[in-house]
Amino acid sequence: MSTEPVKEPATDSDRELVRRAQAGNTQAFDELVVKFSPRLYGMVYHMTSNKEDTHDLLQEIFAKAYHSLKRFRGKSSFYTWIYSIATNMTLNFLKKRKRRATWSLDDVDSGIQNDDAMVDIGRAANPRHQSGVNELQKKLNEAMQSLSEDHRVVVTMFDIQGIPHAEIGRILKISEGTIRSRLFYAHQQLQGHLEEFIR
Amino acid sequence: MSNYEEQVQKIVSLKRYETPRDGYFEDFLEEFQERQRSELLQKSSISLFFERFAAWFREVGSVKWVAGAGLAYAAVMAAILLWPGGPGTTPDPNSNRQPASFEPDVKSFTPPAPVKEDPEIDGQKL
Repeated sequence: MSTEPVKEPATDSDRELVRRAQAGNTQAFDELVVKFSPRLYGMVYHMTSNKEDTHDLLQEIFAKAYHSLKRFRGKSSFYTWIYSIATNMTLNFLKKRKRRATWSLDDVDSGIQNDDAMVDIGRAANPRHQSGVNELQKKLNEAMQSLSEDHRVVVTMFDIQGIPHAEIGRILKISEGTIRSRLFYAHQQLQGHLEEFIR
Repeated sequence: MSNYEEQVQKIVSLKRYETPRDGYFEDFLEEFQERQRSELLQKSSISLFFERFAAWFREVGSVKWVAGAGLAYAAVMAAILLWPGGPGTTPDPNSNRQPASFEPDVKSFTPPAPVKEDPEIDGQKL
């Protein structure tokens, strides 16, 4: 997964890959999977906070994209199109998961406590909590899960993945004003959960 | 943007360092290809035909409505012409035969002539 914020990718090569995939070239679709799976993994994982769910959901997302590819007309970029599929499927999955009585915050993964980059950045962000990376990660996941899906998705896309407001608007089909107000409200909520890490 | 909001953003952005294990995406692609292959095998040739036909039909654009109407008209005409007893069929030579009936035809019934008590042969009483 890229550690840099996601920028609008060049779409010319995507267009060519899509054209070849639409003509039945499975290798071209494989290239699209290779190109977009890390970004989509990030989005789905930060929404679900569970690796197994992310893996299964990502397989379904690409299968759905593969079957719907003939209907893709190129009115938006492939990037926007597949992100829309991924967000819709993830939001539907979360609604179903919410109804399942067995799921709880205990199922949230804690996979970054040993990540060197996370440890370093955690120290840089808050030197007073140098040994608190585990706690920070736990609190972060809890804070994210406390948000509604609509707020979590904009935080994931903007704060974590670095997708610009305009692009988020195209993916979610909402206005930039709505995105900004959701971000503002989400940050207020997150502040309550992360207060001890804010200087 | 206020200072607290910047702080929150900075902390939340740390989540971008959460990455899957090395080699995850290679395995992911292999699994995806495997799933596609098995799905393809499961599909019958009929469903593949319909899927391709539907894809072709979507691609032909506005012509599809004209083609669809033409196909529907041709199907209806073929049904009318080929339907048994329809205008396109040859009449069956046995079709004029009256249906069998067990009821007597009362109107055309003529009672047998009464037997004469004095039989005559050639106008002479026997």
